[in-house]
Amino acid sequence: MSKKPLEILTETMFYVLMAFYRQEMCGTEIARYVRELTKGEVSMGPGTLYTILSQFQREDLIEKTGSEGRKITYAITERGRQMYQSELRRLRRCLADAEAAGAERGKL
Amino acid sequence: MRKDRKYVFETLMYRDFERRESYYTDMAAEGWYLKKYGLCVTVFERGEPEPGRRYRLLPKKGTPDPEKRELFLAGGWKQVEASGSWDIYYTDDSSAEELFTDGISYRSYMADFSGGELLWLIIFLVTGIWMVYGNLSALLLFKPGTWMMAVDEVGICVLAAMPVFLICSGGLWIDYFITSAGIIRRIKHGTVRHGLSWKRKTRIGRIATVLILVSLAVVLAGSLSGRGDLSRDELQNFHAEHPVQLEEIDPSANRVIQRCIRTNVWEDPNAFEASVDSNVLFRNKITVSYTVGDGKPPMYHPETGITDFIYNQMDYQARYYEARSERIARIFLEGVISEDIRSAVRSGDLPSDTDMNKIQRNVRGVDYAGYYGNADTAQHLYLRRGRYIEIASYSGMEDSRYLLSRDLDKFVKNLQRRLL
Repeated sequence: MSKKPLEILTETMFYVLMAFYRQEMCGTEIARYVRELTKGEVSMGPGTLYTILSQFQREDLIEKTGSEGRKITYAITERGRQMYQSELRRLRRCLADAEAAGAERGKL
Repeated sequence: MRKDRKYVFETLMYRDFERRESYYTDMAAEGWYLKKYGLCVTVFERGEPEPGRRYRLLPKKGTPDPEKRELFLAGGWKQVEASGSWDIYYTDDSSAEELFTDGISYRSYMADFSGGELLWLIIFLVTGIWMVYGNLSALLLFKPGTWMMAVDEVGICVLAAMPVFLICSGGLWIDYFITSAGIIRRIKHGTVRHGLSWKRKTRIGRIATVLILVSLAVVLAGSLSGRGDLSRDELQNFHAEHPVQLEEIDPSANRVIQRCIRTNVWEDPNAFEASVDSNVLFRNKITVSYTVGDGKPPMYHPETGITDFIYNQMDYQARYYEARSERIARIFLEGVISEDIRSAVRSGDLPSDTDMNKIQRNVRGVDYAGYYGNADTAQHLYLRRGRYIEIASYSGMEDSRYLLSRDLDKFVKNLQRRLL
């Protein structure tokens, strides 16, 4: 697994963190949640999801809150919330800059 | 053998997991399902053909993680229950997402594997370069005498098998290198290839592996055949007598060794070995080696004024050949002398312009006599008379006064008399 600390979230990571931002969730529910939320635009393989969950735990963005057999439930941590909000702000800024640039040139 | 099981000698590179995915997938389409896999043998079980099945391989990471298994199951991927260093997953659901849907997570998951592969690649590269470089001069300096030395050393069959072994091993080495480099590059870019062709590579791999095993068997058989050990009582020079005495070549050295034999008590020779052999070039070949020492306390040598404070020891080696023709004997001896001189020049024991003629001594009764050495280095003697060759070398202490003893029979007899 990559040992470098997270700096920017990928699209898939962002949606996973978004899922936990709303509520505690089991890992197996996340893929279905993201697929439904994005209407199939964002897909997530089980290997990708597993890697992201491992990385988030290592970075202390989520924590285990319970387990039922092999199913484990996670909740977002305070650091995870901050990371999500920071990423949200960054994306909004990008979008705003893009819209402003489009307005300047008369295109959008 | 059970008809519902197939045992396949699989020589696809063990770490070429992309091709192995295609292989297992195609076998499933024909109704053969992966049951167990190993380094060379894969076991399949008969079932209904499943054209839609996909297999994917991931390197194992530590202990099995139940959560990972659960996530994969939720994604439609089941795991093959097989031991080994790979986790193998499969799905029959065409709508199931691939295990990794973005390159970054794939690269992160495979980071340890690609790091290990890179390390192995470096080791393989360094080893390969070293082996080629080490043998390149021998290959480029191919001469009949060198060829004969190789035949004498390992036998004609072994010599024929060695190029086969080297070419096949070299081919597999190159294939491993190219394949691993490609895998590492793709992991670094977060990509993986599915649906690779495997049939031609498998066929070539099987042929190469069989050839390597056969050539290894020939090499092993060649090394075990035709040899016999000789005891000291059986040892005899197959000349009627030595063709030349040391006193004819180096009278002063001979005086010293004779004095040493007279004045020292030699212990039993240890590490005495003698064997007889034959091959396509030589009807008879006798090899003798032994080490003797006296174990005496420090000994003063008035002729040099030096006192030996350490255990006095000499090592003696001799080879006696009866070639199948005089021509073979001549070419072979030329090869041996050339190789020894080359080695001595490299180590600085001889000047660079030394050749057979420069070490030749005028000795009656032989077709060729060559000698070089001194008290500080090993001494070497080469004799040929017709089909018969005698090659002897001796090395003693660096400051030893014990020089080459050519009179092997006399020396051994002296030992036997002293031991009685």
